[in-house]
Amino acid sequence: MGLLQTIRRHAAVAGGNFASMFREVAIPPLPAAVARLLAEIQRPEPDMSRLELMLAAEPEITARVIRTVNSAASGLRRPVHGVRQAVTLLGLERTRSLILSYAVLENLPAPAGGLFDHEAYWADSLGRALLARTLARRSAPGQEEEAFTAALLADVALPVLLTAWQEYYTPVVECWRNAPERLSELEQRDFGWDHAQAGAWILQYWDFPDALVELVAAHTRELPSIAAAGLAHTCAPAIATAALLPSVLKPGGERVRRLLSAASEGLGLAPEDWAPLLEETRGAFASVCSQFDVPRGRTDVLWQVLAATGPPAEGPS
Amino acid sequence: MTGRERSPAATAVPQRGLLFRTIALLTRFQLGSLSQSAANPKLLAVCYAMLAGAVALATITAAALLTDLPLLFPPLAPSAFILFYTPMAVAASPRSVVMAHTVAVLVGLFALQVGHLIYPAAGLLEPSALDWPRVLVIALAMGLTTALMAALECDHPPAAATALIAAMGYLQEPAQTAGLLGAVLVLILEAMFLNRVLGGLPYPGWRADPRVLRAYGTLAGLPGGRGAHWQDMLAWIRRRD
Repeated sequence: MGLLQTIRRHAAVAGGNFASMFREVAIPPLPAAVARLLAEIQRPEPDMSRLELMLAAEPEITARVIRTVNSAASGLRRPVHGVRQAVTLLGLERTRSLILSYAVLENLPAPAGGLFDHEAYWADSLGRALLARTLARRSAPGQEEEAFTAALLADVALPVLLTAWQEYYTPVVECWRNAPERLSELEQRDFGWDHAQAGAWILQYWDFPDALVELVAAHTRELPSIAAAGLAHTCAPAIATAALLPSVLKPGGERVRRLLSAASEGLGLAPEDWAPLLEETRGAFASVCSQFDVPRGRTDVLWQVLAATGPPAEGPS
Repeated sequence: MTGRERSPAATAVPQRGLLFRTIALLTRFQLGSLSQSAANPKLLAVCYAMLAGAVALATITAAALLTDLPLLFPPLAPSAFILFYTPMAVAASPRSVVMAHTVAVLVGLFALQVGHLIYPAAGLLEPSALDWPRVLVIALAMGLTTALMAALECDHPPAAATALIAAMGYLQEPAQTAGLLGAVLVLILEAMFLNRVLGGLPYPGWRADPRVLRAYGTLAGLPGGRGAHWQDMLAWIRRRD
């Protein structure tokens, strides 16, 4: 690589210039069919017939949506086979969140090399998304699906960065595996930006709703900063708290204590709420993990650590 | 943290190297970085436009002086304003600027020649002549330029002035036409250098990517000068912390 090219790449990373950084990356545009689907769902009065036709054009996503409806957690007596029935049972908000999630799942690049663990990535993302949804149900009722989607997509930049900026990003991930700090703290130290900002940029590039992009951008921030930015009444605190859930690659330690402390002090979670909340999240994980190609047992160690750590030591003051 | 120790492995990490750290220090003073943390990004953009615009036009003027080439034309000034005040706008992309000025010159000359053919006695080729045939020539040049810029999606308002200059008969020699287009190219090269190096902006090589513009607020000429909401929020948090 020539000196000029090296300087250009250094400048892009050091300046957090995502437009330059991702210009040469094959971030596939969100399929037009998916974009049309989302636009239809977001209309004040979506046309179910059109929605059905649009979904039929995306068989992979449709299959995942129907499998989600038929998952054990929904407790249906008869399995659902039709798109319209699936959407009716799920509700438009959850359908939207699932379409977004599955579309991203299929469009993210797969980084070369052994550092990126696809299963662990989705296990972490799904675990945090389900925890965010459970926490949002208590702290921001009505925003559960938004919390789920934003938390699921929060780390969308990681595979992109590990694909296109491997020489810069691999050392950070390797360091994170052996350090107590959060990944975002190491990124801030090395680059002056973190994957939340990179992820927000990618989602904005994909034309995702502004509110969702904002939640992704805020997910690595401390709860007081989120509150000061005027997001206290949204599901942002739930997402930021769920983002503290340790990775399946390094469960336990400081991260668990930070999660428990944030849940207690930031969200006002009472100690007696912790066990049912964990159980609820764990059950939800078991019912949908196969839709994200994550083996059911992949997070067992994490739940064990969380259960063993126990409820938040102190209730809300 | 072991990351800052100077071990053989650490030296292989690009962001621990001296070159990266030097560049990282310099990027803090680029417009792109400064505007993220500035309390008044618009004032910063004005200062940058003033500085870069002055440098760009001074360079072209000096080149005209030293080479005795016809490089100075009034439309260069509004073009420079757009290139440096709203560098991330579609109207400031090299494609818009080059195509719009080229189309405008050709259309202006075409309108002038058509007018001259129809009204040979009107003396349209002389810039001083102002009569009814001139009104028709100017109207034709402006209308066609506007229509073509819109049809080719290369909106760049200063190019309308270029069409007017050509239609008024000020480009009497082929060298003047070549000089105008050459000056536009020089201006674009200056914009590429200044906007990327001094500005730290992903100024496009040819066509602007509209999906990127939302992140640049004032610099993309967006109404109200606001960038993407998430960036405003993070900038606010950064200033607060």
